[in-house]
Amino acid sequence: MLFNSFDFLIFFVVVTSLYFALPHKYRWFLLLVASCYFYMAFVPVYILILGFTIVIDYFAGIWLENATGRRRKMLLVLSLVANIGVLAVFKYYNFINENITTVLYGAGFENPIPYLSILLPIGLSFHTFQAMSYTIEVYRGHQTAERNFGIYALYVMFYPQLVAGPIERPQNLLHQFYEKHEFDIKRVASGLKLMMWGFFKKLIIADRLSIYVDTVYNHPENCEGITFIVATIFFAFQIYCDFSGYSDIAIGSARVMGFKLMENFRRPYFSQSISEFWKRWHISLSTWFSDYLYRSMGGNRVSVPRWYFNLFFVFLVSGLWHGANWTYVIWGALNGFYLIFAIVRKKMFAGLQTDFIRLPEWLTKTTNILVTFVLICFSWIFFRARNVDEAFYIIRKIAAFEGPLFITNPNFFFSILGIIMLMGVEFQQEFFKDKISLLNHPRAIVRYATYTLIIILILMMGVFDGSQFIYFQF
Amino acid sequence: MKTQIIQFFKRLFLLLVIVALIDLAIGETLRHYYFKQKAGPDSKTIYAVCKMEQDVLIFGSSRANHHYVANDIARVLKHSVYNTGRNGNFNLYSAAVMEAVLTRYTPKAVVIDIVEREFEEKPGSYDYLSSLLPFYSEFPEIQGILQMRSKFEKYKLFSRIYPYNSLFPTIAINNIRANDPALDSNGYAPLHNIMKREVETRNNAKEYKIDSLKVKVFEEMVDLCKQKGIAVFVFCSPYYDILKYDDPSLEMVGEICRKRGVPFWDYSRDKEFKADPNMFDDFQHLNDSSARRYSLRCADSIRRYL
Repeated sequence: MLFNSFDFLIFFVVVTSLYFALPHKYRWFLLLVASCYFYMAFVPVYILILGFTIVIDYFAGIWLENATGRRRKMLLVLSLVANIGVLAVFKYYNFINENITTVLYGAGFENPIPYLSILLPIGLSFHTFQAMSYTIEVYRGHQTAERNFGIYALYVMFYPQLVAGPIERPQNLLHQFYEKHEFDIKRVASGLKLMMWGFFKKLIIADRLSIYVDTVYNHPENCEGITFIVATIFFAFQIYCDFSGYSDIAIGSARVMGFKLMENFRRPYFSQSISEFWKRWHISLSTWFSDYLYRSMGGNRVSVPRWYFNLFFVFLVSGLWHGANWTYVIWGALNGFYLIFAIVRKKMFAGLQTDFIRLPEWLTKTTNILVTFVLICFSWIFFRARNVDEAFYIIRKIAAFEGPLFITNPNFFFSILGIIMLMGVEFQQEFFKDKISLLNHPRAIVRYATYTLIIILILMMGVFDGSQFIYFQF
Repeated sequence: MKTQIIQFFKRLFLLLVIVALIDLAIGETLRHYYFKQKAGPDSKTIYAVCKMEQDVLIFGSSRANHHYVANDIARVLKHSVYNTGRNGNFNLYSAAVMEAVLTRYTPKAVVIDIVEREFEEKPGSYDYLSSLLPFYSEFPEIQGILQMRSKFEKYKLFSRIYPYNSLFPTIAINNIRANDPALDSNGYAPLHNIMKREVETRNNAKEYKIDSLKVKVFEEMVDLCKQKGIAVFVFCSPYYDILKYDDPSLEMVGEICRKRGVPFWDYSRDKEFKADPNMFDDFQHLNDSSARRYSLRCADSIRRYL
């Protein structure tokens, strides 16, 4: 079920009402049934795949807790292999096979391995990572194994964050299913406001920008350099509003029922460096990689070359996590390269006296924000292009910097207006944190005027074609 | 908790009332100016649905809009002609406009231009019907087709702004602009470029998923005309590229027309137009000079039936 659908609105109202109407002891069951229904609204049969990993991880958790030494490690490996195995079959099998075919074809052989005609279950990568975080945390002794099968199943299937995160940790979420959440008007209102802002980002900005971006990126042969620059900037805002809009709706709908999910985005386009960007973008995934992969490899407490390798490798895997395509691998590698380059550059300039070039702070900040944004936009070209050849074609066209700008009216107007509104709000949140936002203004008339304005803007400018969220495919 | 719930619903109710009132005010303002548009594709739809009284009506997409020179056809047929074709809108749009028009008067003949892949099941193909949402409340005949957009469409239409979603800049501009030249040319919009690329042999799909609803709408459209005694003529206008395989939709159209005794002319591979870059504005659309040639051929084909 898509958040930006009428079905979800009905689903949300019904589930939330029942949640507060039911006695506490039955609420987890309601949420589990609702989550199954939510997931089965996409492709019903794929719930069996989730069921398979849920059963394995549930028992793995309990056995892990009681096991010691080698057996403990073996159980962890078994659980991880099962989870990654399912992901590998559904997400990477055909990709690997395709590359084998290319290599064998180059050597004059035919690939005897057949291709699989399967679709990737929606949100499988998110589900897998959340499930893996549970067994790893039990293995590390940070989390006790969950004995109630239903509660464990709910932890990995909780509908607000089931298909596109935030990727939760058991320490944060599991215990919340045992807590009784009363109807608290302030919390409910705050959750609804966050959802409203999420819908604004998705319907007014992301889906609007996607019309232009899809037209350009799906037909690169018809476009020129300036158009690609605009489309790439639009894509940067599209993917941000699409994904952070989803996260806002997820966090908001969970908050209405009293659940606190982790923050996933913190105004990433105001980052002053690539490393800061990754602390603000898809935070639940970045911290997942940091907690479970980067640190397991030694993090930065290793030799300098090994440190660089760790960074690069983590971003390479992050790229692959996003999709089975070389474009994502290059995107990950590029971000890894940016980070390493920033560290090397910092080290090179560490001993140099730079006091003679003292720029005003606002200018340095603005320059850093712009440079980071341009670098991130460059990497988005690989993320959005349909294949590597097209990505390089687009880069060549951008480098030529010529040709007319493709404009679709009134779509272009709405796109620009949406970006201006977003950046205005985020600018206030970023640089005037002490100022109260209009949505939380102490005067009711201002608050109500703001709610009304957002709803009316959604009705006037929103795109209601029920577009999927980009991150569902991962 | 109970007090908090009551308080919450009170506030929610208040918000809904404010939103409903503002929605009504803005929606009615947009409605007023929507129907006063003097130019643009919406003004053409308004004319077609509310005012058109010509004898021969042409229905279809952008290809109809750019391929059938209404005034030239009128001269040959000695009947008034109007081209209702609209960019990006296909058979579903044509059916809705036709149903609305037939409640006002009965034309003598109807020309339906069909495109390759007309009946293909495609995501988003019902979204284009949004151009008819402003007519929803006043034309109950088209409500059935418009509700195909989504199962919740009639609930979405509780909002008065929703039918004019994304339209306010267009409405504003088209109220200021001068009258549309399309009104003088009876709906026909000429294109003046010539193709810049070589002809391609397109590996078009031999098979694709057919949307049975689209087929049903087309059949009903033809049947409705026949029922009302309106002569129906179905065309597929020329394409630039060479299509490798027969198109399943066109084959189905041929079959439907044959069963009902309706003339169907398939010019998609016509030798006179095909592969000539001087005749096309882009790979889907004839330019003005070839559209005039094509229109005369169509008029000639129809003439003997009228």
